[in-house]
This record gives sequence, structure tokens and C-alpha cells, in this order.
Amino acid sequence: MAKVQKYELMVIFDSQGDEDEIRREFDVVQSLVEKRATEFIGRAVWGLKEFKYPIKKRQSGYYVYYVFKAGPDVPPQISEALKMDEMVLRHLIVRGDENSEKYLGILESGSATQTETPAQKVEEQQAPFPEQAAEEGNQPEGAEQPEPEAPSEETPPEKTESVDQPESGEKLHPSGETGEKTESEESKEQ
Amino acid sequence: MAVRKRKKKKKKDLQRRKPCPFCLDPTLDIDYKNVEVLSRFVSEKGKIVPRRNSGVCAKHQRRLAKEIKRARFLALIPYIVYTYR
Repeated sequence: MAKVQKYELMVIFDSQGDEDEIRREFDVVQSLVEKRATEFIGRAVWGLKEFKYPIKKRQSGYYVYYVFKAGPDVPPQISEALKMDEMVLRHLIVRGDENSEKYLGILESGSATQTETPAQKVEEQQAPFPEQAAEEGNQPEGAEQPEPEAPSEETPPEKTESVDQPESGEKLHPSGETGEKTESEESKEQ
Repeated sequence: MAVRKRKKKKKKDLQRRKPCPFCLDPTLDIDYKNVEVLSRFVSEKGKIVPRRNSGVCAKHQRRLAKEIKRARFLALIPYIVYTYR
């Protein structure tokens, strides 16, 4: 018997076209996975993200993350099906680990903070993911009542992002500093 | 003579290695979805920083390189950043 393993699937959907259609496509791919998988663990909509380089002349796309358990013959089948799908710009299937379920929550919360307006639209227009809609629905209600507090809650994430970038700079700087030191040392020797 | 002196200096540099950040903090997750962590180990041009500079141990560098390549494929990290001067 083939061994059942955990897999992660990341799909990038085309951002051009009707948003409702794109959202429906998320469900189409989910049903495609559910049909073949032995166990479907979950889905997280990361939201609209800018590409770091253009893919098929597009500058942005919707990232959706699926986790499922299946035999080793299933990922190639899913991959073939996704290649036929015109709405899918790119996809990646990799073996999952114990952390792959953790990202279901992280990515979903990340999408809520990054693209606030689309998330609100989803609540109003669609209810394919009632759990998510319920969670996001509760947050704005709480935020609406104390209005002055809501902006203060939103600002910290921005700050943390801005803090993170310098950190990366700091991490990279030491190598540069060492390079400078070596140069200065060399000059001293000379 | 000058060449000999330089060799000695290099040996001294090798003796004090930076500790691996992933060994120090096991909660740091190396994953293609965790772009914030990956981008720390990518140079300004988009190249993977060698472990002699970053101090990452061999085991984690292998994992890091694999995940950076996955993130590049998904356009989360650039393959190359052009810096014209």
C-alpha cells in the first residue's frame, strides 16, 4: 500500500477578471483536491500579493494555500489538472511537515491585515467560508465601537514591519563591516 | 612575506565563527512562506548569502537554500535585483 503523506499546495491565481469568479475558482481547486486526497486538512487565502517579478505579464496574483493528506500518486494528478487551468498562473506542491498546519492560521490572519477591503467584500458577497467570515465579521464590529482604539491597533503592525526591515539590514551589515575591516587591515599592512 | 602574514590573519578570522541563528532559536522557522526570515539571508542583489558570511550551519544552510529557491519560484523573493549605477 502506498504511504499516505501530508502535502502543501500553493496556488497563484490570476488577479485579472471578476473577483467573484476568482473566489469561485478557489473552491473549484479545493474540490479538485478533495476528490483525490484521502484527507483535506485546510485552506488559507493569503490574498492579493504583488509579484517580485512579472509572471505571464501579470504584476500581482491571489495566493491560496491548501494542506491535504494523500498517496504519492495524487500530487502529479493535481499538478496536471492545475496546468490545464487558465486561471492558475503558477502552483507548487511540496511535502508538508508539522509546521504546515500552523501556516493555515498565520496566512489567513496575514491576508486580513494586508487586504482589508477585499476581505470585507467577501463577508458581504459570499459565504463559502463561514468560519473565516465569522471571525473577520467579529473583529470589525469590535473595532467599530471604540473608534479611537482601532487605528492604534492597526498602526503597530506597520511599525513592526518597518522595524523588521532595519533588522534585516543590521543582519546584513556585519558582513559588510567585516569587509571594510579587512580592507583597512590590508591597507595597514601595506 | 606579505602573503604569509595574510594567511595567518585568515586563520584567526576562521577561529571566531558566528553562531547559527537557527540553532540558537529553534522557533525560527525556515519556510518558503516565511519571507521575512528568508530575506535576511538574501543579498541586496537577490543572491543567497554564503554561510561563511551569515554564520548559518551547514544543515540549516541546505534547508535555507531550498526554501529560498521555492520562494523565488512563487515570486515572493526576486531571482535578481538589478542595481544600475
